[in-house]
Amino acid sequence: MNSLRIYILFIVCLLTVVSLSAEVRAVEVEAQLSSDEISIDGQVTLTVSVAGAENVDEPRLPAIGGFNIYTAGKTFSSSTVNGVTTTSVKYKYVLVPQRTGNFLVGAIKVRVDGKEYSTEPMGITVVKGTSSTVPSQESRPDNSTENGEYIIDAAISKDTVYEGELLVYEFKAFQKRGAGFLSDPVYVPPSFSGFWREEFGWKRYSRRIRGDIYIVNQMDSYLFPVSPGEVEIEPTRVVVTPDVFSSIFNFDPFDSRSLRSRQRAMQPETLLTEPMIIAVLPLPRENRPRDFKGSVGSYKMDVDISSTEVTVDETILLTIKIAGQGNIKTISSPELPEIEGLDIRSSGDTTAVREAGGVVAGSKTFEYSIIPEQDGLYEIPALKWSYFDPETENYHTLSSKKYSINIKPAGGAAGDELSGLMNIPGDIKVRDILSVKSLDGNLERRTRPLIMNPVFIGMQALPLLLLAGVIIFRRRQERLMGDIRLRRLKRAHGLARKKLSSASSLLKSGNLDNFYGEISKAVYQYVGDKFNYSASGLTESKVVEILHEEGYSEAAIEEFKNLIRTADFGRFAPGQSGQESARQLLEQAEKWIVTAENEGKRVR
Amino acid sequence: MKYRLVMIAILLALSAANLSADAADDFALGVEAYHAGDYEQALQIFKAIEDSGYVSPELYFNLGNSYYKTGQKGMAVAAYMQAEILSPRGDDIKANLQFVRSTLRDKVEDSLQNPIWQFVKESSLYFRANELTWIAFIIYLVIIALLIYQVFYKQKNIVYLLVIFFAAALLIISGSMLGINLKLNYYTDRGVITEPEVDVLAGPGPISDVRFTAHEGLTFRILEQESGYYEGIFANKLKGWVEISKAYQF
Repeated sequence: MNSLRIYILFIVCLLTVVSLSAEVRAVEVEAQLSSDEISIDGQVTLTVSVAGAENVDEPRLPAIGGFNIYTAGKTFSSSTVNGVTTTSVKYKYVLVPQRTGNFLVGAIKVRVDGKEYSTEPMGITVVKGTSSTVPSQESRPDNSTENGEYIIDAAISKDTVYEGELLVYEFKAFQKRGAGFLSDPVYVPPSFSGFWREEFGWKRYSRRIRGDIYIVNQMDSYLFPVSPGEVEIEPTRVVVTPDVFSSIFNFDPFDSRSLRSRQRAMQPETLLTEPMIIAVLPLPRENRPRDFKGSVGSYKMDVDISSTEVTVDETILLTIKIAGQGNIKTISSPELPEIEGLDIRSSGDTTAVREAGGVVAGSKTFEYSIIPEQDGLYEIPALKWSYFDPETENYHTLSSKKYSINIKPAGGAAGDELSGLMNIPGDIKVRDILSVKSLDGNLERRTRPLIMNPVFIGMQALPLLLLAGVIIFRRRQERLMGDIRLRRLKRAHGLARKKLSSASSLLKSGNLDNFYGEISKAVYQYVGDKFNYSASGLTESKVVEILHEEGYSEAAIEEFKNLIRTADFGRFAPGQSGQESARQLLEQAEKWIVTAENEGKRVR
Repeated sequence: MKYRLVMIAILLALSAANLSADAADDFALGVEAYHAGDYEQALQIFKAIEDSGYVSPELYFNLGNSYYKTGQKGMAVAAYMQAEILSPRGDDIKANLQFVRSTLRDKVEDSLQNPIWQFVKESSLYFRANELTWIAFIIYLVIIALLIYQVFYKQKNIVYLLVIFFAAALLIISGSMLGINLKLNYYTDRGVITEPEVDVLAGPGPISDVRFTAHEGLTFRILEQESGYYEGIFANKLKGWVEISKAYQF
């Protein structure tokens, strides 16, 4: 009996465990719309939840006429309560209506562990007009959507601010390290209408999330609401396109996901953050200073004046710098009084803005030129400027000190003792820049300086070459002057030619008596110069001897003999030779000089 | 063939003269626009002339004025400094440059320099580079002529030798001044801050420490360019890195 009881108890326990186990494994697939009626300018979130399973293919959505569908991410959760483990996967989609009417969201099919499940069809109505549904902010601050390898998240620093007070919209995009995308994700920020915006670029760092390392790109938008009321910040949109090739190379044959769902995963996906509503409070009317012009934040003011004592033809520079935290660019200048005798003109303003520890800080500087119109003592009263501090929720007024200015008549010494800012070269004193000038000459083509011009650089060598030529010429001249033998040798040919030329003239004039003597002189002079003998001491036999010694050919020597004998015959037997034979002798002499010159070069 | 070349040369010369005349007409229009108070239009015209490759001291002077009147003090300083290179003794250029500098936030004084170097530098910059080139070239020709004379006449007269020595010294001085002028005006990259307020960093990157803050119109000598930053040395010898987009190189 006892053993029967124990057996029954064992069976009951076993059934209980099996039942509990079956409960854990029960798969539930459900689809839900955030609203079943929306306006044409709104949007609705479709959530497909799969509970009790981990290995889930992406749901296959039917075509939903009248809507554009954007993937808004996937979340996975798992919890164990009293030993019972519950797992669920949620796929989120954003449906944006394109036209009004009643629409049907058909059954959504999901494959879980190889088995297909379907959801119930749902109806949705799109009406005209403005959306009455307020977007849920439940998900904030965990306002993230993802596609597994890319997660986006947006957060705001405050949801209630004063008009003009700083609000930071922080957008983060987490990209899994090693994840490949066909192109850079396309970031479409909200329009931020209703806000003045400042941004200082992307910050990039890395974070470990669920054991994976993600590269985080963060953009902080510093927003200043421009008017009170409820203002919506639209979702930030990011379009990502996974890399087809990396997807193929990372293909896991044991991955149960179908090829179709893999191909779908390669399509561009649009991720959206949640829209946000900001309550903007009006600035208090109580205790609002008259000079308040809308600046909100925390500031200080510095006023500086370039000089307090100038002559009437000089200019004073007044600088007002307002620095602090807030919307720096919209800061207005304090009101400047109108002072008779002083012309106060704005010279412009400069703004410097930077991000400093999560706030916008910087300064705006206003510059004024004070141009005296007549001499005298003047006073610039204290300048006032007010702002609203949202921390203390009070208005504050900043005030400068008064300035007394002594304007002296023109020509006084005061100006020369000043900082010298306006003392211009040539003792020109001006209140403004000198006006534009007309052309003085021609416009020139932009060229390099002359010294870099290659032609000019080349020209520098010419005088040097000239100098070198002169030196060489002079040295040669000096060498000849110091060496009589060389000088005679060098000039021998020239002098012989000269003499032959003179003989030719004598021939032409019919003076044959002197012609033969000139031919004879030319030949003896040539030999004398060539071999450094006195021409007057040379005879035919001596010349033959010299030519023999110097290695001249027999033909040349014979030619010389004939030449000299013919010339002597002409000289000593005048009237025997005619004009024609004289001309032949001249040619013979010219020829012999050439022969002797060539033979001389050969034997040397 | 020769005739064709001559014709082409004449046509090119005429075309260049015509272009120059057009630029001069545009220049007159720019002056007119400036006098009419349309500084933006004047700036556009003067900039277009400069972009088409023309230069003159008047062009840079007027550009400086137009930049100043349109609130671009940094660019105005750069334009006046370029005008100064072309017309270093122009008092009106110095006047406007000094006036614009007097309205700048930063009044940086030159660090103390050796008075001899300061004198040499100022003397070198008193002339245009081309003026110094011609001075040096003429002295060079005189020296060559004196040497040629010496080759022929071998003068030992002390006065003659002193003249040669003096001319050689003048050539060295004018050549050195030309070198300094070229180095400072043509071989030195200069920059000017064009943003109202710019952080001058210790290194070329946004994570570097801020050394000091410079304001529009402050000029510096560019030492290096790296990763989108200029390394500059300022007049007071302070060094630092400035983002290229916040400065203008000239």
